[in-house]
Amino acid sequence: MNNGSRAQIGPAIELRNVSRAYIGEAGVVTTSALDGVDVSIDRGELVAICGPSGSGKSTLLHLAGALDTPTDGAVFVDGWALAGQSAAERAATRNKSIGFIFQQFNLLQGMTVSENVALPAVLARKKAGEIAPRVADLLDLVGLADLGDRRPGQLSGGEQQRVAVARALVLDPPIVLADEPTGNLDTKSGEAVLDLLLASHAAGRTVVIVTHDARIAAQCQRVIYLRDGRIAQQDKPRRRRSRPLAAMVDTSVS
Amino acid sequence: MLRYVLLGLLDAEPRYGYELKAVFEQFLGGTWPLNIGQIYTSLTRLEDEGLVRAEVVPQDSAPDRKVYGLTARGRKELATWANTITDEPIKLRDELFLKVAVLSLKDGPAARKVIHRQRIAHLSRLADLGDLQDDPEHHPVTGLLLEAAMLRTEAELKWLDAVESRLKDWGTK
Repeated sequence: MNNGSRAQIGPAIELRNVSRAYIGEAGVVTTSALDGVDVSIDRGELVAICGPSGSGKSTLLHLAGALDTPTDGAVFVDGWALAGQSAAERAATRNKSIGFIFQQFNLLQGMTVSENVALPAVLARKKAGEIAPRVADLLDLVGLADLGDRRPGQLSGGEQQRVAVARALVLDPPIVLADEPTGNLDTKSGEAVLDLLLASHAAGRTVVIVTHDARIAAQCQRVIYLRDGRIAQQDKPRRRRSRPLAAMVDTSVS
Repeated sequence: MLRYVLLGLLDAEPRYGYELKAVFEQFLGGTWPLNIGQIYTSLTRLEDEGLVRAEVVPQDSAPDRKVYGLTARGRKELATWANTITDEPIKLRDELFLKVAVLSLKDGPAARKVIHRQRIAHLSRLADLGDLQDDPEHHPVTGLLLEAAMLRTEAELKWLDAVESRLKDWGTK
């Protein structure tokens, strides 16, 4: 990594005036998915990104996760300026700094659960002797210690997403990005996955969740609300933990 | 409506007045404040109508207690009420609806600002209701009530989204 300087302080993720347009035939901009967005996410922050379909939520997360590159503006991840990096260097930054969780799990069906979890570590050329205990610990963490030898197709959706969470954590990244992680899950499985993400945040990681589930957004420290590729609002839900039920609900009928 | 809730609670188990008040409060998580006078007034009326019957239970070192239970007629009355499908008009008399409706008439930016502030207040409420859901002390019915309150809050958040989208459309006309 000879490009980009690493700032140990400063935000986990920063987007400066970032746009992402899709160019069609004859160089005409067909869709503007993001339009001049500034976002700064602190280290250790827990952030929800919300907004209607097509508002640019996933585009923003893919840019922050170095899975996509902007058509304009600059993206900084964990102190690295992605603009100066080659594709290979971006991949290395991604491996080192980011765990990504997809709505569709994106597990490899031809591999066992353990092999799926281990894959990023194998690709990063970690030693087998280091990988095996790490994978075992993570499968234990996500409550799937006994299912390491199964294939993803033999697992429920909720279990597959927990495998994906374990895979995202295998290289112990400081940042976890999740794109609609509970979108394909029933309520109970969704809660289990959310609990893992919250635990990941409690362990000190930066966690960013794209979601249209208001219950998940409500659990986050900050909610960034996108509309038509721009930030419409960003706010911190003000928790009043001791608020009595009777102050929020009235069942009386006269 | 109160009478049917009281009939339902007494159908589950005969109670004396103070006990009924305590169970009523626990049942609805204190979201329907009642004083003991209202309980006794209701019980007297139900007794006059022949829907409940009081049994006097002597106490060793205290005044006798009247324990109330349902009569056959009371059970029938309760069943008729409970089995009638609820299809009343949806009440949209709440303040939020009227505020946003009024603001949307002329000033797009002002309405949008209210929507944004309301959205975050609703998210905060959703989080606070979620905290209460984890309380192992609450009555199972209070859990159902919390679920209803959370779903209602989520519906209002979706409605705010819909209003915001339409405000944008109006702005471009």
